Amino acid sequence: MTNQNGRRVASTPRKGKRTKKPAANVGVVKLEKRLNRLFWQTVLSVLLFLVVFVGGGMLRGEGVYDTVQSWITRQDDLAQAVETLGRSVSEGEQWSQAIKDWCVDTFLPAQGTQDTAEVDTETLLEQGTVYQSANQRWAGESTALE
Amino acid sequence: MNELRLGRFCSVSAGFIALALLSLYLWGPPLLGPILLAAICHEAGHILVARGLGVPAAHLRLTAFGAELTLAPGVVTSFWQDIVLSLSGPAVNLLAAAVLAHLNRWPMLLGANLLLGAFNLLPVRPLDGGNALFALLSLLAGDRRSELTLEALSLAVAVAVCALGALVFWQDRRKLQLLLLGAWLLSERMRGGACIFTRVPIK
Repeated sequence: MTNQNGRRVASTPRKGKRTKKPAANVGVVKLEKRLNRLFWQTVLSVLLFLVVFVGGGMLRGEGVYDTVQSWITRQDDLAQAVETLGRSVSEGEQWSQAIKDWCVDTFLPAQGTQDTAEVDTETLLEQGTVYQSANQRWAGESTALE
Repeated sequence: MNELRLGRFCSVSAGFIALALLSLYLWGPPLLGPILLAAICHEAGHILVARGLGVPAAHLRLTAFGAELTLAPGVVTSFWQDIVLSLSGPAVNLLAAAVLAHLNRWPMLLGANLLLGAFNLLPVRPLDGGNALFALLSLLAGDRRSELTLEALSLAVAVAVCALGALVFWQDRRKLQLLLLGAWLLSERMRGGACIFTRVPIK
């Protein structure tokens, strides 16, 4: 067959050869889809990791609600921490030190307090007393048997 | 795309509205108000400096991941202009914090400005500090090498923050903030958030 210019052209596309150039952005579209799939796979993996590794050891059935509730109420501390940051900077504290203190309060786990240590000591003393009493009771029973 | 257009210049995504409602529930107006004001100052800094450099800002989009300021299409800025543009937002926040500290007023607003400015100066993408670092490295070593370096650094920091956040959550189940921060940084890397200023890429 001939085209408009009278030149002979193939009537059917030749096998193994491109008849037209691919679109310029085909690679870009494919890459975006791949990245999108990778993104959701990563999100799912992180969620599964949290559920299996962290949740399996931390969040028991009845404790989930308490955990969420405590996290929600904890956000009041965040607002107070921001206000404390502002006040300390106003009072002349160095910015870097103030931000560092804020990060420690907000992001790092809470340290044990002295009150808690005192309660633990008292508890240990009581347990010690109970243990000694139990020991004496056992000693009394054993002598009775003899 | 689910977006609410606020005039010609600004649009708000459904994710941002959901995040705002959740923040309102968790923190209430006393903290949310100063954070929004600090964010407005931040973006206003970017927009004003962009206009001063002769690079008009075309669109501001608020999403759950942050604010995306799109410059006029077809405009290619120099690396020095990129540095100035990137650092203008945090500079405005820190300047506002300095003024409020001098006046000794509104501690919540002062804290919000200080935190937003300092956080955005971190040399990690998609934060302003990361963009400024990219422009600076590009001046020294070319943009391709800088792109790879900064992408690797940003991904490493995101993964490290996630891991540290998981460890902190393991020790204290009330401390979820660091894990959420790491998840945000990681999601930004996965979304391919290269630069907060979207425009024609430099080839």
